[in-house]
Amino acid sequence: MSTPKPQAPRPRRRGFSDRSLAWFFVGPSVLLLLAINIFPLVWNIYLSFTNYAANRPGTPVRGMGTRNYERLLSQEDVWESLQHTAHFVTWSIALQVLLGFGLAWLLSRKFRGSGLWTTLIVLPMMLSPAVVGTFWTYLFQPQIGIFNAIVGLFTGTTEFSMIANPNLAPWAIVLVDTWMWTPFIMLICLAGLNSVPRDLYEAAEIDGASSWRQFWTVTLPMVLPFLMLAVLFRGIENFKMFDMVNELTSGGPGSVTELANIYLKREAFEKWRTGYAAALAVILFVTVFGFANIYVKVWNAVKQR
Amino acid sequence: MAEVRLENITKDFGRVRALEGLSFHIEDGEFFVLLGPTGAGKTTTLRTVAGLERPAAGRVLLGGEDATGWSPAQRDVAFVFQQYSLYPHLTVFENLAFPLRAPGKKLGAREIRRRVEEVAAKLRIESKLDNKATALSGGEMQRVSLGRALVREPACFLMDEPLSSLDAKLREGLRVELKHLQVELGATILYVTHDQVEAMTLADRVGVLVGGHLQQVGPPEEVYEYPDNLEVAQQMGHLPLNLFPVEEEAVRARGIDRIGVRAEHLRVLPEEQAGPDDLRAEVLRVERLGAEEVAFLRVGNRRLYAMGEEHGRFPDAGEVAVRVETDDSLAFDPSGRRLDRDPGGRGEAPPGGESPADAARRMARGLRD
Ligand SMILES: Nc1ncnc2c1ncn2[C@@H]1O[C@H](COP(=O)(O)OP(=O)(O)O)[C@@H](O)[C@H]1O
Ligand SMILES: [Mg+2]
Repeated sequence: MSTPKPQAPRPRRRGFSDRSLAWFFVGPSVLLLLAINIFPLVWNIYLSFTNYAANRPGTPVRGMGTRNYERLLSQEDVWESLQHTAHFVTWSIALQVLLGFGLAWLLSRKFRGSGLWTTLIVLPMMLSPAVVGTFWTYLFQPQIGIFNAIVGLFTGTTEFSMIANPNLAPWAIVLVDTWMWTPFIMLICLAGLNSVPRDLYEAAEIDGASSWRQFWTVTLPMVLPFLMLAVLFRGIENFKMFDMVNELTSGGPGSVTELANIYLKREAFEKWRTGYAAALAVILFVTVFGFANIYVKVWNAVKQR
Repeated sequence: MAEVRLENITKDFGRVRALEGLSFHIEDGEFFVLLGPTGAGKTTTLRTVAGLERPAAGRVLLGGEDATGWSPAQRDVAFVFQQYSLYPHLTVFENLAFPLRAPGKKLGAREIRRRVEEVAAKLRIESKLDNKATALSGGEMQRVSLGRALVREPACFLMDEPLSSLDAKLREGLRVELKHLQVELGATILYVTHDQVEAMTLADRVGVLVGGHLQQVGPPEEVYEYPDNLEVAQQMGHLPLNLFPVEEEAVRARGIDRIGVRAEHLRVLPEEQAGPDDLRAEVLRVERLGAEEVAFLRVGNRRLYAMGEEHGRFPDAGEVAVRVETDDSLAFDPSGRRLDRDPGGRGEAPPGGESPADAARRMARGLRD
């Protein structure tokens, strides 16, 4: 019995260790995340440096270096689509903040039926954006559309088309988005307004502060973090806007409502310039990511105040 | 400063009647303390004077003018809230300066700074002026809240338990300071508290509020010694009142239903000194508080509280003799009203009968048997 014993198996504990149990739970999500988020992102970055075209699977793929990016940045269309996006984001957010905050202000006064009004106002938000885009094409109909009929009451003319007129179409998409998403900003502002303790207003009133001063020193500082969060969500969403506008105008007339994402979809799935579109996707991603990061820094600073 | 007068104020919250027929007045420059247990309607009274609540009936007069319909700003009162209510986004300096920047005030920046710094020094928060109002301890917040009232020169000050969340040392210090300030400024103050020590030490006059009814108004010593009824007697004392039910027919026939003796008037003697009229009690527990001590006693199934001032006076356990020694015992009729309420007639035996003290002594015998 002098032969060395084979190494005794280490005493095995029953079941899993904490760590392996943790991996067991987290693993599937990590794999899923890798498969549907990280891999496509990396693959997209790779494609952005090639001339790959998704409709010609057999043809050899050539590396293009940074040529896709160079072409993108010198392309008139791209800059125009970014301008359309900027116009759309800026105006839709500005209007939604004004209207959303105003409505929240009114509803926070808790009059009779304010709960019912809240529910009614929130309805548009519950609809699918594509459905909203589609039915607004009917509302904007010059002959039978109710929108034109209502404007006609005030101006006397119904012979105009919000979505066929290149001057009006950019405003049409702002209008529809505002109609749909003002309730979102309103809801978040309402939560903010309700978080203001009532006794602060009473203290201010006793200290002889006007309503205006109460608004600036009590209401606004307390609601601002809420409002900024809502603006962040809406900003990112509208920068990525596709579905509603695609249904409503498909980027037309001409290309006046061609937002960056609609342009992207054309390049990728109508012209099949996959590598080129991939490069644009990377640029959009970096832009929105950068803006959001800066914004969150500012937001944190405001919250700390 | 101005005098404040409340006439027949009634206030309901839905079904709850918070105040009923409340009337009292505060003279110009007077320190008036409203004392009452939680839920008595103290805060509601202050809010009504400030114009934050509208009474269902009655009038509020400020400086002789009917102010019932005035807005809080028009009334020009300063309010120290129970829960501080500082402006969380402003610094301590800005919080203190806030009322000075009201449109009617028209003060220069220099004058505002001077006043704020003066008040901050009085309340010892000079070093915190640049802090955010939320970056303070509870005691500091309470002082800022006081300061925000003191920077103004209002018609009157309304203070809702402003010292309640301070630690004992600070509370005492600030109590002295507040009284001093009030005398110095000649300020009219309506001060609300549930603490009878604050009422005794601060008040020129005290009003006892229980269940929305004002029970009694008067100088604190008088209310302490001659409470109109059982509720007032129980409010004005920091240990529960020792209550003895009266069973003897001869005493009951004179309308006396219960006898009350304050803890500080219950004499506790060593057993060997016990007289025939004294009560034997078992000592349950003694709390020695330094200068004074409190004994928790039991006679039969009744609890008694005794308070003494000299150290080492109560034995920790065993039996003691209890004597209702003075004429400070209070006699109450079945409705809780105090009998023999004439301050001059204190201790006088009612004609043809024994004094309340005698009755108590005799009743003590009854308890023992
Ligand atoms: N806003 C209110 N709504 C309903 N009931 C109230 C309100 N404020 C006070 N009350 C009721 O009125 C009574 C007196 O309250 P309050 O003045 O706050 O008492 P205190 O300050 O003496 O503790 C209590 O019964 C309380 O429940
Ligand atoms: Mg209260």
